[in-house]
Amino acid sequence: MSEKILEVKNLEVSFRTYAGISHAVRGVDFYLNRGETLAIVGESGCGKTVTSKAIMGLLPESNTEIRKGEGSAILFHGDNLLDYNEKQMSQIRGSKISMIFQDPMTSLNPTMKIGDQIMESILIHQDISKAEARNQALEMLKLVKIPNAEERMKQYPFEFSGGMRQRAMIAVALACKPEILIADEPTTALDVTIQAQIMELIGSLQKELKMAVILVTHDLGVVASVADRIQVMYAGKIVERGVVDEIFYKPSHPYTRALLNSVPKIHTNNKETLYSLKGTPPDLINPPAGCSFAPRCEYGMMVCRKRYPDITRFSDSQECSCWLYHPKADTAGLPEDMIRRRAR
Amino acid sequence: MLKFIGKRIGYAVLTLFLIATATFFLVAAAPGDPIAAKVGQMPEQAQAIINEKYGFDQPVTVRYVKYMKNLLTTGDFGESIVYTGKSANDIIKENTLISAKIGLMAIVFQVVIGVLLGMVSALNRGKAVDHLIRVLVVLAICVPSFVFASLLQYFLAFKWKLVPVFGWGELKHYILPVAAYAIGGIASYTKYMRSSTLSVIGEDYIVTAKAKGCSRGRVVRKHVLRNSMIPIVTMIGPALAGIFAGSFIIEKMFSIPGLGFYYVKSVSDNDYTMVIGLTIFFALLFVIALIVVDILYGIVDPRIRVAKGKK
Repeated sequence: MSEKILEVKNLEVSFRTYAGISHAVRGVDFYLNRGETLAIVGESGCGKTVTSKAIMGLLPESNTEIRKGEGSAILFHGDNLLDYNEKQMSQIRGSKISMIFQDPMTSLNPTMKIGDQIMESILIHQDISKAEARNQALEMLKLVKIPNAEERMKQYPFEFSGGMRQRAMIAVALACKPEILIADEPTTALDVTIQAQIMELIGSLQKELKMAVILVTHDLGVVASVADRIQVMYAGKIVERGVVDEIFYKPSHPYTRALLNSVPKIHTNNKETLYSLKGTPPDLINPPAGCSFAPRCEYGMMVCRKRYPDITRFSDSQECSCWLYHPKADTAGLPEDMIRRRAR
Repeated sequence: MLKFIGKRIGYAVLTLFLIATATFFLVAAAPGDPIAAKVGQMPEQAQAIINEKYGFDQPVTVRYVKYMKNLLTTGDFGESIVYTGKSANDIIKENTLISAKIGLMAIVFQVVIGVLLGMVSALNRGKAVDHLIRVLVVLAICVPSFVFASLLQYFLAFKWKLVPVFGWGELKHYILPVAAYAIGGIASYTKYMRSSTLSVIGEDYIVTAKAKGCSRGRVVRKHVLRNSMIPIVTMIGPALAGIFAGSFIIEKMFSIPGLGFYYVKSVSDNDYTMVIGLTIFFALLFVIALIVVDILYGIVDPRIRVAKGKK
């Protein structure tokens, strides 16, 4: 179960923009085990989508700089994808690692039949006849629970509803039974009931095809029921990671806590004001020295703005980068559970 | 779909009727006299006979009714005043093909080369090829076709003697006029294709295609091309109709007896029947072209096809 199929080491991605170089991802490390679900959580602009596109090699070459060498690597079964050329990458994409996107309304080619779009990746990666590919595509469409699959094969995306399109998108992505599915905000553009159906579908297909899923989202509600592990990203760095229960019941980084507090609870009464995190994420062209969350942090200290904190480990799986867990940190005004966690 | 086409044809007929009417009265209201231009110092009696022959002794409204009745029953545009003995229909019949041949050839070159250059330019955005193509496009759009025509005549025909300067009949005579005619169009198709390709490249489904493992070439062939052709199709329709009228300058410069040549000449000659007849003819072509585009659109873009079918 715990075979590492993907390992990202010190990933650094920056974009050349007119305003300067934007450091979107600033040293991210993580791994993915076979068959597990890893959630990457954070608000927009924190680098979660960039991280996933970097794994797929889908970032625009013209203005993107991905750090190579010196401990930076994206290892897929031990091979560094950063060293792959375009042709080698295209053999990985869609067959070994697939991706689905946020907006199903625009992610399918409007002038190509759904069936052809699913068949395309099968035909690219497998040496089989068109008729066989058609059969496989039909099977996929049935697998993602699209009714009248045979008829739907011949239809165009505009004849599908949003939820159906996302199902079709999933069929496209899974047509070659990849080992890893990267789902980039797969339910953000859908309404809540459809969201649940799509997440359920991804979950059941994951078990059936024994694939690992990287779920990229800003919605902690979506993550809770499906993820095995969660890592929280802020301003291009991972600030906290842990298994689901640790993140939900023992959140340690002030940013994680703020995210959790801003999710409405079922027992919240309507007279309470929902917590909202003040401020905006930092400018990644000139990222602040020290912890980039410090300016928005309730418990920010002098040192937070000067040096980036070391990692504090709480368990085998949970760790967090925050100065509050340093032995010398000032604990006055900290919530009790955080003080208790410090003591360990 | 049939109902849609029927409706379009209905509108087309109405449009044609309005154009015919407007042209008739505008031409009648224009200063000058076709007879005076033609006969010059004729005895009054002879002028009266000609006036009677063409009905100029009657008020314009009576002439209009008579003209329309004749047109609708026989489809005859009437006898040319300048080219006696020939009806406008004859002249259209004899010369349309000449204009159409040049125009069609030019359009084929325009679309094929324009689409190709536009794609190349867009796919190499910001690189030297892109800059070169864009500079050439601006140049070709700004410089009028008769300048190109003269340059081509001077260099290719006069200096290097590769092709005849002008003349008509053989294949070699087509080269210069078609080239001169096509250049402006190539430039505009390139420009439109570039911008539409750029917008398609930025679409999410192109990322999806890459994420499937499509190679760069496959992405372009299977996903970019068709979607970025949609705006081009809209341009082809009016251009198709325009080929008959639009080549006047070129026809004049290369002494090609095409329809555009006659059209402009008939205006300066005050040849009433020719002006009205040719105008209606051009309008007819235009209207047909627009209907064809609508049908073509449906073939390229399935969204339109079905939406229309459901109506």
